[in-house]
Amino acid sequence: MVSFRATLRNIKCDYIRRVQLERADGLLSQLAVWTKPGMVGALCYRFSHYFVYTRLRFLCRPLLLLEHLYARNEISPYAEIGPGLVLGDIGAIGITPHIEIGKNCTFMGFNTVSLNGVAGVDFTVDQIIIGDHCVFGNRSKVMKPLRIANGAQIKDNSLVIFDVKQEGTTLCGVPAKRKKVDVYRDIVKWNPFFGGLIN
Amino acid sequence: MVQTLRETISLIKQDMQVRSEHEQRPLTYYRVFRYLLKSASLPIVLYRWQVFFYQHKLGFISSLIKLMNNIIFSVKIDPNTEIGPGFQIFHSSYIFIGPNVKIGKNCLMAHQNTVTASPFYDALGSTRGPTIGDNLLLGCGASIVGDITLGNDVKVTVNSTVDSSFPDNAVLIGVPARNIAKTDS
Repeated sequence: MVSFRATLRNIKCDYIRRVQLERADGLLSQLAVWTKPGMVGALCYRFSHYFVYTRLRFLCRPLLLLEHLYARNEISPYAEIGPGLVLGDIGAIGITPHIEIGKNCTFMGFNTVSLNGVAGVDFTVDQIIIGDHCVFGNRSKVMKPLRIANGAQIKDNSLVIFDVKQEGTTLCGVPAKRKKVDVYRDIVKWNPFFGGLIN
Repeated sequence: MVQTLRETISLIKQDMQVRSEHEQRPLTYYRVFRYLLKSASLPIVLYRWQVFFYQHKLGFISSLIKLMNNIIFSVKIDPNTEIGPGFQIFHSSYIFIGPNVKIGKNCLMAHQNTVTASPFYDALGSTRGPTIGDNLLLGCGASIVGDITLGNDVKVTVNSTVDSSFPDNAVLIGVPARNIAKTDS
């Protein structure tokens, strides 16, 4: 449950982070950000997440349809995603309910974060919790109830099946293995995918 | 062997039957209506008609249906394939099935799957696609590539790439895939 004010604040954070990533300096390029499929997808998710807990629940369906047709994303309005979300323009990002994602996370495209790949999952207990400043490369997937610590970098085409406990870990492969560990506070400084105005 | 109109309709009926068994609901008229509207099942119906028109030398209509399938659902299936009855797709996005592919009955796919002959077939000299048995289960992002043979009841996990032949009851994981099924011996 989020207020309308918080929804607008989240959208502002998404927009600022997106502008920072694209280095859009001019007014025209900043306006063009609103037409990008990734930004429209994030907008549709924010509003559908607001409407789904109110009486205006019927507005979710057209928003999700727009999201599917324009950005090919299928993000459930029941998923809880923090401010500063950036979605790739290729789309095809699927996020199911019962999932908590922290602030300033990046999804490059073709990602799936879902519990549906596991048979006999108990939705009342199991959920996926992803920390702040995580980056998901193209086609990387999480399909099991687990926790991922802050600042995890998941490389392209990898499948995460174990808990990631250490902050600033880089993962790679099917199934994903730990490749290296960076100091979490340092990454936030130098990597443009982390940082952002809202730390 | 040419697929007749009667066979096409019976294939679509069998697809619906398997889907309703999977959802554990009886196949009423309402369910059939819902089936024809779902983005997960309409591409399959369109694919069946695509094969029918292709084999009756109406390739123009077939390619139009293929284009429609591609634009609306982003599902690309070549009409020169043999897919048995009971074909199901969970989410229709970015599925590609190339020419000369043979898949048995009750195949089940998630999303972002690729089943095709080797993309470098000009260099390797083989245009034959994979030949797959019954009850295939493909996780999302999995791909089966090359002139290979898979047995019945094969499961391919998420994001793995299969490029060599495997026997029945295999569980495949990794890039390239390896078999992790438990054997009795």
